[in-house]
Amino acid sequence: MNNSEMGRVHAWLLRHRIVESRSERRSVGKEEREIAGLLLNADYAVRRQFEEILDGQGLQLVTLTSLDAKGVASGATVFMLARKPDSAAPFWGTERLVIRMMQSKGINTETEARTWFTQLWFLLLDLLYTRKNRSPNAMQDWVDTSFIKEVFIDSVKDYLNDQVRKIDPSTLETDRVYRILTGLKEGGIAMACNAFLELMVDAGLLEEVGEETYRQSLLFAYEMKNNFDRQLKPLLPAQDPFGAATEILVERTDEDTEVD
Amino acid sequence: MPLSTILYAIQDDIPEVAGEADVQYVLNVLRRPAEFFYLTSVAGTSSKACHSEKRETALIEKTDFADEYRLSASGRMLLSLANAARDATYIRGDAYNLLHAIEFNDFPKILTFSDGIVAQLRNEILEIRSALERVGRTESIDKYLDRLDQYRKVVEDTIDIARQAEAKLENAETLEAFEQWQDSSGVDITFEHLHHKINHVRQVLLIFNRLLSELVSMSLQGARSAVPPPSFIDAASHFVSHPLTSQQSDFLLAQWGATSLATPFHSVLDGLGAVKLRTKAEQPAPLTFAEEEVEPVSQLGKARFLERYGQDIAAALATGPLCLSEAIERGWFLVDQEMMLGDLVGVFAAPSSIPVAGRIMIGVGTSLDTKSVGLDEFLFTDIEITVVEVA
Repeated sequence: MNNSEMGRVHAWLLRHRIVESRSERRSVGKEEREIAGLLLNADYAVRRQFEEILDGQGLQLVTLTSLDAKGVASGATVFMLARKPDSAAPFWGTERLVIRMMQSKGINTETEARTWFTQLWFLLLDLLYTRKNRSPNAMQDWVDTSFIKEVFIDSVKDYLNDQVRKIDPSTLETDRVYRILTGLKEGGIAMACNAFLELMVDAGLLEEVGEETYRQSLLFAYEMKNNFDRQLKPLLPAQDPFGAATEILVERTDEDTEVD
Repeated sequence: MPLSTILYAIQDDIPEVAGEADVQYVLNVLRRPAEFFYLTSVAGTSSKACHSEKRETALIEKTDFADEYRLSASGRMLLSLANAARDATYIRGDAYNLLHAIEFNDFPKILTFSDGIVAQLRNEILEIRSALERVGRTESIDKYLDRLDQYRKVVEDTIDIARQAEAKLENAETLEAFEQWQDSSGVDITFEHLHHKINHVRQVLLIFNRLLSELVSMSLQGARSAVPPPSFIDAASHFVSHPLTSQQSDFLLAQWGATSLATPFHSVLDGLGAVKLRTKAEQPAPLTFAEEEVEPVSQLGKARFLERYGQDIAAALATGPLCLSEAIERGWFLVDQEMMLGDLVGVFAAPSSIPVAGRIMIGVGTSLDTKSVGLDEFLFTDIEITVVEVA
């Protein structure tokens, strides 16, 4: 890999975040195959140099083979660009996120767009982790996370009806988020969910595995496993320690989870 | 399950399966039990008695009353039987197969066996990786813990066999046999490829062994890798009543959100061939009228001209208006035998540099004037300059 090829690999990775040499679940284009080939065949020193450059940008080049993670085709290698903790890459921005979210009916300001995205992101995590009783460090389970769009939209509507609308706004210190969440009509909610899923797929964090069917990407599962403890847990409201203990002791089986 | 359902399911998966007859044929084969035929000698006679025995190997059964099929008792056991046989504890047998294939110089089989072992170990390795993520909350690791000694022994033996296989392959005799086989069969496999395959088997076994130790030591230490998932939906509703600060929100979006490049980051090859460059045919240079005789007007020339005639012009102006035709008549276009007509006209057109006090007024004649100078003739519009006294 010479410097020009390194630039090419860099550009591809910044845009798509994931490169697979071969895949059983999607077709891998010629350009992507070439990029993967360049990375696979790169000299150790060059590869190291590339990783150092990425490191300076707050990124980490993750290499996973079919012996490292489920869902990787036998003999194939997956390269991913994961965000390192505490070092948000400055060239990645949220402009597109805001613009795309604002295309939903009823989302008119940047604050509204960001609030909606954050809330939908937590609801997605609920679908991917809490409801499956899956530990945030369970990366290997990413292959079993598919869900259909309808389910996601319904869970968002249920959340809004059962939790948000039941809050008495007069008890709130500030009803900023409450007003944003309750200000959207039914159609607007579906549009916001569509925009959210589209953005997540575009950023390589979700995969569209079928028509209206999505799944967590390996990259998302990897970032979650590595960064959850340091980067997300401190932001979350404190858990009831006794509740957490019983959760560990009681192992729910898949059947139970489905009944839930 | 009716035949039509099976047919649709198959056609969904493999569209090229055309007819019902094909599917029915396969189903018929699957529902037929294996039958053994054998001969026994009958004491006292030279003739043999023929026997046949049926085994319960039919995987499916067909109902008598309709064209419907279901799994037989053996069919239901098939999956668990297959899984039991695929357990890593049986891997030693596969490794022996590999070793034997090398001993018997059965080279294509080496590839089959090594791929088989790697594929099976891969499943086990991924299972262990999953189990490693769940230490402390499921029984999935019990399978490994309960049979740890068994696993250890099998894996160590298998690594040993793989090592033997590698040594055997590097043997000079094997290499010779390989070359002979390659010449006779013409199959395109290199010796290095075979070597690499067996080496890979050993590497994968080592990974398996390492992960197994990691899993066991982790669970024996009472460590816990699994944490219960927090209730993210509660977190979401928490942030309704306690909104994130703008720094927290920025951080969350940058670290976890669907961040992207504001504009697509193009690779050098993205636009390759998208824009066709058409090189323009070279056009012949247009004919230009070159007038070499036109005299250049330059600052330096003007200075020289004024040095020579400046005072004369000023003196002439002091007495009254001065015409260009008059100046030409006086021969003021020659400076040291050099034609400086351009400068003369220039001074008339922009007379501010003439050393006189007061403003100068320019008048342009309406008719074309001619003046003969030697053989040449000048054609020009007469210009008249007059000094206007400043009051």
